Amino acid sequence: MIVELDSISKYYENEGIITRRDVLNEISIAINSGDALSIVGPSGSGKSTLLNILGTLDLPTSGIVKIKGKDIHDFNEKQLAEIRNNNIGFIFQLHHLLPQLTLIENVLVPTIPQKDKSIKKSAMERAMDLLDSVGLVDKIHQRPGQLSGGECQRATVVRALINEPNLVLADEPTGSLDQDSADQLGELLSDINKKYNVAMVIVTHSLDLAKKMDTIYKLDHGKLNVTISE
Amino acid sequence: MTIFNFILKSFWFFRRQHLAVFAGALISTAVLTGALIVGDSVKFSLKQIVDARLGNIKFAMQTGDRFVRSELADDISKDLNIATSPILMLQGISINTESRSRINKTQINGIDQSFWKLSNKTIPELSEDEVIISNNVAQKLNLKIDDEILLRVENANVIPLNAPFAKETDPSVSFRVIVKAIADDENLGRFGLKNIQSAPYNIFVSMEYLARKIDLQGLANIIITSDNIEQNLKVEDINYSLSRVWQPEDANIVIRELDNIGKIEMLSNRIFIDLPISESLKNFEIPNETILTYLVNTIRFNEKETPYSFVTATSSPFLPKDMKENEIIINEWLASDLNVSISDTIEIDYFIIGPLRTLEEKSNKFIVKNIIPTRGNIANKSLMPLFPGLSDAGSCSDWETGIPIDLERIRDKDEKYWDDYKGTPKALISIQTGLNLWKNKYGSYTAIRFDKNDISPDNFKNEILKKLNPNDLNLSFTPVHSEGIQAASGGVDFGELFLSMSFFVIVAGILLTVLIYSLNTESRSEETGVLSGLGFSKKQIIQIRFSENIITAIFGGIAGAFIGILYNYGIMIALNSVWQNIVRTNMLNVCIRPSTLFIGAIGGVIIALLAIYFVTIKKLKQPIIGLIRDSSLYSHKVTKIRNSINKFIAIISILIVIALVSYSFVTSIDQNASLILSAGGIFLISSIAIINLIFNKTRQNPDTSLLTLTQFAFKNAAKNKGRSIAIITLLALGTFTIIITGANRKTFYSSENIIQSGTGGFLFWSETTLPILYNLNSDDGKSKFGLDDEANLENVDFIQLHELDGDDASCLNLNQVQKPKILGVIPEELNIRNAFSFVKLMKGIDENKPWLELNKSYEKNVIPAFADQTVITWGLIKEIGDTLIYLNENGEQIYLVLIGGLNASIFQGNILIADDVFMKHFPSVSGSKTMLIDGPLENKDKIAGLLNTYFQDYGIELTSASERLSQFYSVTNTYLTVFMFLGGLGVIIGTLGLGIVLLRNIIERRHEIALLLAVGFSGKKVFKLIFIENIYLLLLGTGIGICAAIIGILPSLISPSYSIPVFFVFLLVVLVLSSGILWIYFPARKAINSRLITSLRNE
Repeated sequence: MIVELDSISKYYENEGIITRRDVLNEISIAINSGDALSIVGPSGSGKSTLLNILGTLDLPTSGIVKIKGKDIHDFNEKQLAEIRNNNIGFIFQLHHLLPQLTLIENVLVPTIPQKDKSIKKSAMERAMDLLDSVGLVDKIHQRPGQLSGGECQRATVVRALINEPNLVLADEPTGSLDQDSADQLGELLSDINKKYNVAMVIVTHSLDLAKKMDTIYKLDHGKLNVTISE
Repeated sequence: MTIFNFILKSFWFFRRQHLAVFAGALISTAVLTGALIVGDSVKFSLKQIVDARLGNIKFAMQTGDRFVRSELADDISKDLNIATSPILMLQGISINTESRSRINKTQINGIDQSFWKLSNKTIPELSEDEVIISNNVAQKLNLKIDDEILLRVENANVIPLNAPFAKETDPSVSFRVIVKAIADDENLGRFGLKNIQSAPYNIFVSMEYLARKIDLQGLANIIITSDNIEQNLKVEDINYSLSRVWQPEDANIVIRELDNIGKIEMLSNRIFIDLPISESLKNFEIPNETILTYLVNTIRFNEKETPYSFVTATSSPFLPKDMKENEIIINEWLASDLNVSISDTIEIDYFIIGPLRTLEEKSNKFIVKNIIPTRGNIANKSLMPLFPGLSDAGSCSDWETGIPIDLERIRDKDEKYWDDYKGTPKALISIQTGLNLWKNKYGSYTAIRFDKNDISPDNFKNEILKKLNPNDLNLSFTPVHSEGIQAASGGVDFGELFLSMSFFVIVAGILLTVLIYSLNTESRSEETGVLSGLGFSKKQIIQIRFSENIITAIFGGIAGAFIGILYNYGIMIALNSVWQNIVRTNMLNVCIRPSTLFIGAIGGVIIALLAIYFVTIKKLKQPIIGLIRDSSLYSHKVTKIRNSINKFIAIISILIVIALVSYSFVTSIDQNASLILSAGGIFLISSIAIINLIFNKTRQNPDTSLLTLTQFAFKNAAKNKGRSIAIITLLALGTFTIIITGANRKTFYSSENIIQSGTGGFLFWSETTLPILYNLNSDDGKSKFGLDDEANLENVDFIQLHELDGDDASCLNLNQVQKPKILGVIPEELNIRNAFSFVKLMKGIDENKPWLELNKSYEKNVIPAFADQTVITWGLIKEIGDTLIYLNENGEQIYLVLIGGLNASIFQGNILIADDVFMKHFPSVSGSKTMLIDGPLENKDKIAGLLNTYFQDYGIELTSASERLSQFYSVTNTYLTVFMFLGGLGVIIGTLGLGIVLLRNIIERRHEIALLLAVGFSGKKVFKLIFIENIYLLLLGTGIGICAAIIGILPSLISPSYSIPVFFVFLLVVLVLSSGILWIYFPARKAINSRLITSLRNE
């Protein structure tokens, strides 16, 4: 088991106005290797919050988050960073490629804090393979500003995979793309899930994209319900 | 991809952003380094001045009012194998008779060729009527080589001018000389033994010629020496040599043999044998006979009188052992003249001579115990001391005694007595009675005799030299060069001074760095978030940011250090010109030390990196996801805590302000100026906290009503709270400081005539080159100078002060002063006037009558003293209760305890002690060279004209008391000007920061602005929105600063005797506001001129 959420809740308190906004309510879910699931739901339903908790970027207000069987509360900031670097790949709605770096350099950024020498050593070869597989090998020396939105987003997929993670988390990966690019990216994510047996969690509004995953969850009023099973 | 590559690529890609950080680091480093270099340069220049004024001179002995043999210099030279030179240094007046220009305080140096051995160049020997003048004399008197110059030199004398029976002489001797050469700095043109940076007006004349003119042949009052490099001499070595080679003549001792009575007699050519000398003879195991001979005005019996006779008090064994204190032995001549018999009672009238030659006639009655022969061994003419003008007079009518002699009273028989018996005393009394009547501050005895059978003349001389130490007469060398260097090093630290005065520029530089870096970081917060998401730890991110910026900071530091040199040059140019009031010299040179550059650069880099570090840390405290997305959702919890802190700070500080102001009003607002100032500062803090709260509230509370443009603008200002608060704080702090500083500028506005003010209500402060020996308030004193007929001088009061020359401890001297000039004041005079006011008094001092505290007796040689508080703090670097150590004329250490600090006054630079105490310790100081003069204000000009005329030959320099005070004020005000200038520069740089923030905001908000335009806002309206938004910050900042300053200067505002330079302060505030508006206007214009709609369309 890669990640396990046990009865996690999350709410925000607004100061001044006495309100409490419950986002997630007693959610439990377990993600194993090769799982492919998508989370859908209306805006503000807490999809991204859930994804961020899965990716250790955020903490629940209550409940337990376990990564590889260990409670993340037992980890300090540095250890959490290591866990993210080794086990989790992120794909955001916006590509967030660094403008100062070329495409290949951007892809290789996660290898900088990587401590596993074998992964580090093979990073370039892997990057080239991955870029080749997403059709960007001839654009490796271009900067993000010179690429299209779809190309940038495909590059972030490669960046997410560069350290051979067990889990890829994608937050509205097609949100800023046109339909063709979105379809291509959806296929790509599905292929990656299968080819590398990497668990994939996608948060999306797009049912087309969601359907490309094995399981679709719907997040509504803080509760996670399976809507479609394989 | 390595982290190094990543850093380098990021550094290059964001080079423009780094350039702005570089500018911030550069400014703070440049100012920091520049200020440190100023410190180095001033110290270096002061040391250069020490070398210029002393040349190769390492040690010097200044004998005060005494004179030693000029050969003493040779004796020491031979003893230690060092270069020495005697100098006869006198005060004088130099006059260019053609242009009628004059220098009142000229240092006339009688020198011989040995003097030039102590300089770097030798000058041909001076013939009798030739002089060498210093550069500044040549410039001031407009003299060149071969020009004629008139010198009026003080008529110094071996005998203290105020000693009883000292001959009355002209105060000065005049002679004309020709300028042979002009001495520059290499030729000791700046020669002087005082630790001050301003050059004395020097004239060098042949010592032999000068000595002959004033009848001091073979004598000197200064001996200077070089060092002996091989021996590395210490001052103790020189003083030991002095004690080996000095002679009785150096102590003004005269030894003569009285063969007819088989005695050796010791006399003093200062009339009275100095107390340390007579005291040292107490240790002689050989019996001696002490003698005190005095000139009495009248010896009276019944109706008969004998005028002007000598009476001797003696311990001679010839006097009957049972002689009582009220008994007298007279000679036959007197007995016959007065028709007196044994057991008759006679009366003696005599003068007691007080300060400034005031005479008090006293009388004593004696019973005649015996009548002795007129010519005999007991009483003869040898008992008469060496009275110049008396002992050498041909007849009674030729007497020059220094006391009034009524020649009409002198009878033929008196002349006959003089012819037959000279100064043979007509009466003898016991030594104890004599001491009770005539012992004075100059000494107890006029002679001491020894039996030749007990000691030979040679042995006697050796014994005296053995028993007496030169130091007992305050004859000792001091290491003038090392003391000069020490004074130069220990004085005002201009490095620290300019560092603190440049505080706002440095803060502005730091703030600029922080603001720009903060903006850069914000613009790259997504990157930070992504890196965190990709598994970079905070430490790694800090490392990346730090490494990237360290390059910027190092370059900024290095460049800043070099720009600091330029900044320093700017300051030095100003110090040598427009700010010369502070340094009083134009001899300041730039000194650049690599170590200082290094410290400045490192300091600047550290400051920049600290700023970068804290901003990065702050940024990383935000949730990662907040960095990637809009952070507003994620910061609420933090805000709640901060709000509580802000509320707490605001409430507590407002309460403190109210408490401090109330307490100050209830007690004494004048005495609590510092508390009120603190209240102003605390008000500033509370205001910032309140603004913070308001911003938070604005951000949190949804507005349900329709927004006006100004409300919208305020909301926008609140959005970037951190930036807005930073700008408000800088502006508030800058305005607060500028106003506080401006309000503290010293001005008069008619307050100078108030008695408690720094002028003491006096009209004039007067200094003369030559001492005025008479009391100018007495009829006698006035008539001596012909002032008695001047109606305009009738109501003029003179407070004549005795002074012991010393270093100028006023703010005009940059050196650390060890021994400032001491003035003897009469406490009662100042107490009656209730003159001047005090900043601080030592615990236990009577605040109602502080002046009378100077009369109080402490332990032996512990003397209460006052000085200006500024002198105590800055000149002496001491505090109330601290002690200054001097040597009195007897070579004893005296301890001047600073019991009070005067408010800025005309006494600045001097230490004040009671006159009685002064004269006890420095009896040789004759007359007064410093006077405080009071009179009717309406006659001020007439009084000045008359005094300048009557005392022209005394070298009078009459300064209006308010003008003297304003001279001192001008130094303080120049410091304040510098502070305000640099503070203003800091605030202006701060407003530049406002501009940068605004520009950045506009770039970040271009979509928002474009949207506003798209939805129908006109360009003018958008401009107005941005302008108002930023004007809020500007007005809030300056407004808070002004309010805080008004609280801070409340004591000055409500004081009737003080006026705030409103215009000046107003001007500064207007400048800050104008600069701010300018920096807001241009970016706001740019905002609406950009093609923003296009950028929106591109979205």
